[in-house]
Amino acid sequence: MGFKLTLRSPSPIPLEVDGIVPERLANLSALEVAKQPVRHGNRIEPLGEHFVVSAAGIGDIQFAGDTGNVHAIGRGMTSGLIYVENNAGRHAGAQMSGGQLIVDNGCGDWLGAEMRGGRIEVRGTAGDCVGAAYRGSRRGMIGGSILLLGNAGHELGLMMRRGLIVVEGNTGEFAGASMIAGTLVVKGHFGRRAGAGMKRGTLLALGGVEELSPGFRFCCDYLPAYLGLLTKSLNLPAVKRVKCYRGDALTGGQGELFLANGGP
Amino acid sequence: MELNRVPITDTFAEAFPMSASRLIVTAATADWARIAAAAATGYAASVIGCDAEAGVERELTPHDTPDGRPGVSMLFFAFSRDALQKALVNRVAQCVLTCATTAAFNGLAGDAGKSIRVGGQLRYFGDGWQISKQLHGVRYWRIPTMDGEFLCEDSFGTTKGVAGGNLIFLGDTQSNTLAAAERAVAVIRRRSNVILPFPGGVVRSGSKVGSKYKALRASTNHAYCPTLRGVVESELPEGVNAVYEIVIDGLTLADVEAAMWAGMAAAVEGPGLKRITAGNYGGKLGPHHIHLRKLWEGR
Repeated sequence: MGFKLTLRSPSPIPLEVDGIVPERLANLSALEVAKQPVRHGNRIEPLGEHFVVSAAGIGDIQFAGDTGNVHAIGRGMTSGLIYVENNAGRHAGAQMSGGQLIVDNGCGDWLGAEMRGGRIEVRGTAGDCVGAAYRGSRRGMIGGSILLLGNAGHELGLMMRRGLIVVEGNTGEFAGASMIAGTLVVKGHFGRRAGAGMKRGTLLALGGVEELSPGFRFCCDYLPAYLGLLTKSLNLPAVKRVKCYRGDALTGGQGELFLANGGP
Repeated sequence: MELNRVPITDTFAEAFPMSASRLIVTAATADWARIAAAAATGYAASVIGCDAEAGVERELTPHDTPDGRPGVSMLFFAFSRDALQKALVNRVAQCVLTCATTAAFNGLAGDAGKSIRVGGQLRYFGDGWQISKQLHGVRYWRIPTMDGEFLCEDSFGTTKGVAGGNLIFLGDTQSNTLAAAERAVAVIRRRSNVILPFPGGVVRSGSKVGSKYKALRASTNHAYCPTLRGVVESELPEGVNAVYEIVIDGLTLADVEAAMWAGMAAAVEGPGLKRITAGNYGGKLGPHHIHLRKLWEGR
């Protein structure tokens, strides 16, 4: 049985719903769900004080109402489906290892930060540090996929180690910075210094890059076999040729930046 | 028992289990995919003398391939998973990796826990420049080459297939008998999950187990050689002057049986065919006994 959690009224004080994930609510009644603790500012309060809990809804958990200041939705989830019908706050899907999170609008910073597996789909824009490593951590996203239908902020995929992020819009600065491995696909354009400090990994820019990092060197103009596989599996338009740049030379230069349809 | 007035011998084909895998090769053009497939499935007629039995299963349109390019699907059979892995790694390394513009993909989900590593072995050719990519839970290896890169899936699924399905056509002349075999080959090649590993799908040198020479495991099947009819205990009726065999390997027993029936039905649609029979070793070699009578009765 799924639950629909409808926010009673938006609050300027952040509400964190850490732990409100499908596997934890699976065997609970609506009453028990309402007693689950959530953090409101600096206080722990029952979920029922902020949400109307009802059975059914879309997926295992559906968040309804103005949830733009509700944070950590789906953080650490391992299975099931969470559906957010409006905006999500910061840390949505962070550190999740399985299941699916769908946000039908935009979301805040740290979407899918240090994610390990599963799938996130956001049908609007996202803030900074999507799929990134938290400050002080050594690795960002290490598995799973994030599909963003709008724009992404700065530091997209910062220090990501594995996984796939697809952005339909544009990105801010330093996308793929210090990337260790994985794949970033941006249908719009990358902001300045994309891939700065990246060791390995792949950036595919279907709409160009605002300014390349100085540590990138042009290698060739070709069509990697991998791109056929990637574009077909993601239903992206077929790419005929790309300009291949390798970098960042400061950190080994084994990363690659593919510019489709012309250079920067 | 007769099919279109062609006698069918009441006997059985003796088939046996072999580890099987499916390789999909794509390339920039269908021609290059065919070239890679021809090379990769070469010298793979019989495990008596080859590391594997292999053949082209079918050609694939860009719509059917993982990377949206034209491709060819092939099946490989070997006595064990280890032998299959060794054969596939060698063949992909020498015949596909080396072939212009190609990429290699696994085409078989296979049995759980029984996959073999192909790309995972070939990656070392990249000398440290190889790149691993995971997409939807599947790992691929990208190896830099002089024309760009070679993409190969890390692991290939395997299953317990069935090898050794066969039909033997006895005819009045070489041309009529070969035409019957060709008709059978043509209809079987339209089927999925089966291959005909011999050249053109047809065997002219049917063999028996053993030889007067101790070093040989197999030798010519003298009982089916028309030129020896007068001097050996021949299996050939009067009027038979040529014999051809087709050998069928498939992913399941049902696939092999269906292909054998389709081949029989097609072969009898022409002149000069005197009899259809099948090869076996008295039931001592393989656990699958495919009786020609049952194929007919099952239709």
